[in-house]
Amino acid sequence: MKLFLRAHHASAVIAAGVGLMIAAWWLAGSTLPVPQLMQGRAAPVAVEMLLTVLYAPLIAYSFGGVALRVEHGTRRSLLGPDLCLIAVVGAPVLAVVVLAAANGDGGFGATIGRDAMAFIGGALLLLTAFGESTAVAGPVLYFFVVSLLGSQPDGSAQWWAVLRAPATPATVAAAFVVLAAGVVIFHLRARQTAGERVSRV
Amino acid sequence: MTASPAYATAQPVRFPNRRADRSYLRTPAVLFAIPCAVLAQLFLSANTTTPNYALAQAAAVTATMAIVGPIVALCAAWEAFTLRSLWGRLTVSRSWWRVLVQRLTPVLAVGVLVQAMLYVVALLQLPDPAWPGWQLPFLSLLGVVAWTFFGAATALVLGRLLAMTVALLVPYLALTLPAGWQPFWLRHVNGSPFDCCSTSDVLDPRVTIGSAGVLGTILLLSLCVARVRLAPSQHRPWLAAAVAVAALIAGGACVSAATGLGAMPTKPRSADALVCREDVCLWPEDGEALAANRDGWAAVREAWRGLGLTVPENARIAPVSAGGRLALTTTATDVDSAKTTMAQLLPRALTGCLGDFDDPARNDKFDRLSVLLASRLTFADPEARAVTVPDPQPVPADAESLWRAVGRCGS
Repeated sequence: MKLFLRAHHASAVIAAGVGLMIAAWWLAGSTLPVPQLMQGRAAPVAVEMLLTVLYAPLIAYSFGGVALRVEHGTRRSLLGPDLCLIAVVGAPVLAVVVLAAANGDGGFGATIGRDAMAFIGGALLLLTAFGESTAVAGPVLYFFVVSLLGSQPDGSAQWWAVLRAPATPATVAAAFVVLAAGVVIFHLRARQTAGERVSRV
Repeated sequence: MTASPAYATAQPVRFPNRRADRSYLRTPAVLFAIPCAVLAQLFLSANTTTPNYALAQAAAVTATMAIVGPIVALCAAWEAFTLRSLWGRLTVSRSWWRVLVQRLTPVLAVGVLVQAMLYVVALLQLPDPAWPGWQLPFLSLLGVVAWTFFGAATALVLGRLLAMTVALLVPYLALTLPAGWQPFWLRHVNGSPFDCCSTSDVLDPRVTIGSAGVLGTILLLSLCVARVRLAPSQHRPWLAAAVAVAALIAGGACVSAATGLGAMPTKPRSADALVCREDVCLWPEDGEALAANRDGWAAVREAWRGLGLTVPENARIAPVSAGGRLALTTTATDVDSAKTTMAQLLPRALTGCLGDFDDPARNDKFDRLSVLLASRLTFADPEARAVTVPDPQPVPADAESLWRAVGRCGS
């Protein structure tokens, strides 16, 4: 397990995650002042959304790369180590969510938790399907589109831009589904063991 | 005499009728071209600009650089990764900059084509398509080139994942965030003039100079980075550092020219462009408002005279007060709005006080004159009488004394 975590840059990822979460909590409530003269289609977007999108390169860095290619030939299941790695990635988020809730700022905690889950899950899905470059570019491009075109004239978010809206139980649940789908698809597609592949042949 | 090594004299392999390494259709620039164009067009169509004004439409096109810039930077980074992975492993007889430019040509072409398409779409929507001047198209072109080479430079220096993140986020943040910054001039030096322009304004040349300074510096620094990474190390290594220092100095000088700008990136438009019909002068783009201004002015002038006050004979109204005109016109096309605006502005326009709000007592007198004036006008919508004053309400007999009391501004 120690070698696995080292190969997947766990210490760097958790350090970066802690930095992102500290910055998000520090800047909570502030917005990116994108131009607002766009018939309401663009409105200021929360800084925490920009910070959580940076989980996409972290996921590509941690779960992809040489380690993924080397482990492609493994003969035993990597579900346990993968879940451990997910726990390492998610630990700073969980800590901030719990601390924010304890301090009476549950709305911020829910929003950042939802955004982080969605971007981590989305990055895992894209990493599995298309590779590291897409796992980075996809979420960041989604962030662009959401910030520049994802607002309604009344200030609410378009249906496809839910990550710019305050968290609701439904959107948190949807983000959790994306995270779970990312983990499951990554495990099923990127972690097929050599033994399973040989038996299919 | 030593014989040249075989690789130095070998001719490159030629594949007739196709490129040796790849198809253009598989380049990232072509793959991203349609999504980039669609997103930029959506952004443009969602942008509120001054209708019928070519300069405002062109400024809206430059705002789409917030989408085009990150995408061309990403595509350029992608191309530069390939170059970086092969550089030094293949025999290349061409100079580094020719190789780099050829590699980035599809990216530059897509960026320029998307911007050109947006200009065509935006300008063809005008009733009278007009050329918006060279400044904004120049900034668009320079922006595409600068952000393309910026993306390539990041990929030549940073690791792949970090470079892609930087190539995407830095242009986005540089093009969107300054719109909310202070001091105000910082908003106008990123090549995407914010809040430009009403028909009474034109783009201030200092915006073009400052933006060209910033974008040109980004371009030159990116080229210096590329040279350091790609050129032979013994080949005039001081050149990149010297160019970088010169670029920073020149860029700083250009930006310093823009530090005098205020909240708007504009300067007043020359009154020579006004088109006058009867006693109403309007900008050519505001022709739809002619009827409302003409009818509104006739009604307000009569109401003013009905208060026992005078208006100069042959007085003309216009958006600006140049040439003795009264700056009273509106771009609204309904008469009620025109009457309301003129009732508020006429007392101030006649006394030269349109921009002077320092004296509260005088402001109150102007408001009372406006209320009196509006009370003699008929409105289709009674709610259109916008100005109210505290009691006691003025009566027509007060008009002359109020008018004498306001005096003239600047005297």
